[in-house]
Amino acid sequence: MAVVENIDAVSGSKLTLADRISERGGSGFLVTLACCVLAFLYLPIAVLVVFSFNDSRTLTLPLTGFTLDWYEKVANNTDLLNAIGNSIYVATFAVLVTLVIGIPAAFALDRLNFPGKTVFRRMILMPIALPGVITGISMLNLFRIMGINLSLETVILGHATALLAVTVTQIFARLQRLPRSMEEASADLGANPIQTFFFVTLPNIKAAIVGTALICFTLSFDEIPVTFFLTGRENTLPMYIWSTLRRGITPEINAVGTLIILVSLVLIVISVWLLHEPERK
Amino acid sequence: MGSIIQLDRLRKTFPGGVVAVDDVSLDIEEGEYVTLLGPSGCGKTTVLRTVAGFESPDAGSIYLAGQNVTELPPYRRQVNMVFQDYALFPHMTVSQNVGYGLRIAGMPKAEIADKVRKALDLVEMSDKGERQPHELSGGERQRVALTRAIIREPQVLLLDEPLSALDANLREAMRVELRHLHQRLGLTFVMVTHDQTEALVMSDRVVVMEAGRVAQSGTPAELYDHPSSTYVASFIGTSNVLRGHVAASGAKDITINYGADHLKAVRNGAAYADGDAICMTIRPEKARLLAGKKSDAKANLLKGTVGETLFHGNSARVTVDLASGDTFMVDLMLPNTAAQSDLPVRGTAVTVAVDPANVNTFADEAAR
Repeated sequence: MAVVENIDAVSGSKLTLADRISERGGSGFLVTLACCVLAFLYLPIAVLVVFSFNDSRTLTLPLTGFTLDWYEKVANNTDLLNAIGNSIYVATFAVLVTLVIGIPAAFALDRLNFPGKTVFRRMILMPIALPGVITGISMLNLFRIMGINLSLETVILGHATALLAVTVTQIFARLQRLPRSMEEASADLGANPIQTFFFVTLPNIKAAIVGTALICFTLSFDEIPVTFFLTGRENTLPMYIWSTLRRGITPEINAVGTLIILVSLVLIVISVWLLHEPERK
Repeated sequence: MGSIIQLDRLRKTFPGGVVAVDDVSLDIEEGEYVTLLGPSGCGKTTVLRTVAGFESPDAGSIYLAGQNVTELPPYRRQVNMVFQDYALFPHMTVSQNVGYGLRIAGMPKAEIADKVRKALDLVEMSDKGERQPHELSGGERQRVALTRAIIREPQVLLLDEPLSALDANLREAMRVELRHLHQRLGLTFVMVTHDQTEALVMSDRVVVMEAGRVAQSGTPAELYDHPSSTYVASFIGTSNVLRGHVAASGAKDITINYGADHLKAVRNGAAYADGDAICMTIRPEKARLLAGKKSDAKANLLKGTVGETLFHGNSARVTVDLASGDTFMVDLMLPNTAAQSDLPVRGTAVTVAVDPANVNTFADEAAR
């Protein structure tokens, strides 16, 4: 480290004025570029948040004043509240189903050697690359053939399927980083496989499981394509928003959007924090 | 004193057909410090893991204190292991790590706390009980791993390359510390290492392994003075290897034709017939250089010229090009009166003298 700094110091002293200016200019360009990227990503969100507090029905500048009316309207809109309730219901159970299937699958990938293991892994990961529309249509066909009526429960199955790829990847990655010698040490010290799982393995992958659950919850909460094909008469929140949009954007929608952003942000920050626990070696 | 571990014709093949352990039989006495020594891939670690129960052998059986444990899972065996990476539980404190085995055994909490404190005292870690493993230095982590393994008072302590993760200075100190621990506890230690110095310094007995088989087993001195193959001779220390044929075999010594010379070697128990191809190994420090026309009636004499002279400070290694075409290394211990200018110069004619007792012989495996 010190050596590198020294080299910098030496070469720095030999820079001409022109070099320095062009270097400043170079970093200035990069800063501008970074700002543009951030603006590209977050300007739309900022607009949504700002207009959710704007005292006007139309979404035009200039801003006319501050109000919390739209949030009050959200609180009184039963359809909207219903949709939020449905979304929470769907997301919660989709997460549970995907964890119940995904955790054992991740363990199988990590621990067992069976013929066709690589194919199994690729096939589990495939839905990540598959458009939601395809997952939606294929599951719709399947449910039709099996004579299952569409409902929120079919949406749960659809989401759980789509999320399985995320769950298995995350937990498998954690298991791969878990030294096998740790479980061997536990067995060596007299713990049977069940004790080893609960005292050693689980505490070490717990953070990954919770983090994955939060990510999956967020993904399911926002999901439209799969939901579109698989829902019955009930609507989830994104579907409700989408259907009301046909009558134009209302500031009410902006208010809901702002709330969702807030909750998503919190969940994502927590999950990122949990998934990137400091490496303890 | 009896055998605490008996390995009977152990065999283990890994998927892909690699034979890791090939017909290994081994008896380890109670209280012995035995080291399995060999290069990576020689099967030493697999043997250790089979004793611990992490690998099940394809054939053969394992006895611990007379009981056949071949089919027992690791958690039913009275052995504990110190892992190469220590395998400390990162989510537990030092005390919890050390007390884990007792907690599993269902010992009351107060008793565990008491035992853990005493055990940590023993390795001078009592003030670090509440630390997390990642807050410890390498040497401290190793002590925790050791303490965790011996707190259950196992019949045998297994050590898988216990010093390899430490830096050179610490490694040397830990060699002594482990040796003292062994003497204090009176436990049977079985260690795996690829470091010959470690094996020689620490163990009562060294088992040299080669490609899944036991090449030779004996005390460090036996292995050093009487290696039974070129493999062992070259793996432990440095040796001059000369090949010849048995000319005559007497009651006490044998005479060997080596080029135009006849060399004498003290018999080491092996039976040779006249004309057998034979290998001689001679340690460089057990040969002497005779300058000019000097002679030594009792010693074997080999004529040659000085090649390279390497100065090591307290000693010098001289390579001599023998008349037979072989190169022979001689280590000269330098007395405090020696000056560097006294060292033999390239091209000087010299005679190498080796006492028959220092010529180790075994049947030449290359000629078989």
